[in-house]
Amino acid sequence: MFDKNVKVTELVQRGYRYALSLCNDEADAEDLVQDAWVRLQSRNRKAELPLLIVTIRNLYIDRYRRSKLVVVESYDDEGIGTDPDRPILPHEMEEAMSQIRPEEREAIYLNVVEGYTAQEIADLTETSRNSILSLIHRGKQKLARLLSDPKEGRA
Amino acid sequence: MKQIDDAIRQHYTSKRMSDGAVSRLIETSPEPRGSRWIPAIATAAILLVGFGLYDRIQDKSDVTQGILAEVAMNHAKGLDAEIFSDTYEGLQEGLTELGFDIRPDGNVTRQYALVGGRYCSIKGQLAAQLKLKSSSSGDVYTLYVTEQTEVLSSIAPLATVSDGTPIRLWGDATRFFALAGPDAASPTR
Repeated sequence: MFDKNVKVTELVQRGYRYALSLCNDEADAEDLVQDAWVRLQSRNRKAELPLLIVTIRNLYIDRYRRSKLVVVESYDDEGIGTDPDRPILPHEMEEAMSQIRPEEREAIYLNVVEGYTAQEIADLTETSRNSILSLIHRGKQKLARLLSDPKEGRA
Repeated sequence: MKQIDDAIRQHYTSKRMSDGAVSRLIETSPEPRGSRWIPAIATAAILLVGFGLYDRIQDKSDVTQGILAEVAMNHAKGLDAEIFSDTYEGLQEGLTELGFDIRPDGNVTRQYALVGGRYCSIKGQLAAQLKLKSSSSGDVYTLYVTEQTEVLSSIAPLATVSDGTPIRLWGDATRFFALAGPDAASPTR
């Protein structure tokens, strides 16, 4: 069994957050991490984040029977921003996150929280780098718009 | 965008699985192949390979242990049903993604009342997780139903205790079942 230490616990938590970025549901995220962890351990695979991410992703795609995460939209770089003097409240971010697409949340999470580059995310998810850049950009634009007018997402 | 990036980081870093859930996950995961008793396994493996049986036995054991670990952990989590129905027909209608019949055999339906269910997975395969209540004791049981596969059908009916949870595994021609609960592994069930 893998060492029961802080590193393993932290790895599980990071896997959980990644799963959350995909499904945006805490119970589903917990299920995904659990299934991925059991799968990795039963196959005696090394506990490392990229492998855990790929396993979670594959399970997510299998479970929701999505053939492929594909980006078909182009993007335009309009400068929509939030008011820097107005703090973003946790419930507003929660609501905004629920309004963007899973693939946008995934790319944003891996880039902003885990610090992966667009090319690294492209390699992990077998997507083109341009698609990843588009997902990150469009996702953040949507978040900015939703956060600048929190009522928009509920309309 | 820095403000949004900061808020995104804060949003995700505030999310954590409970310590209990993480501990259960780590502690109830199956042993990886060959991590203990390596010398004994190696000796046995040499003998088994001679008969061409090693891979089949090891793989089957891994699958069984993996399923038992998943079932024990899911049962311990005690997640609420997402669809509540006291009839299998009603629950089946709610779980629209399933391509198989969730109604178990009469032994189960006679002893346990259906409370509800939700989607889950067994070995990465879509499954139904049903919450049952014993008609006599009121104890809560969890029944897992998924489609039969070549791998699952190779598992012989089994009653055991995994990580403190009594579990029974069995299958029919088209489905695989796992029941977890207080006396699920008792021979009288």
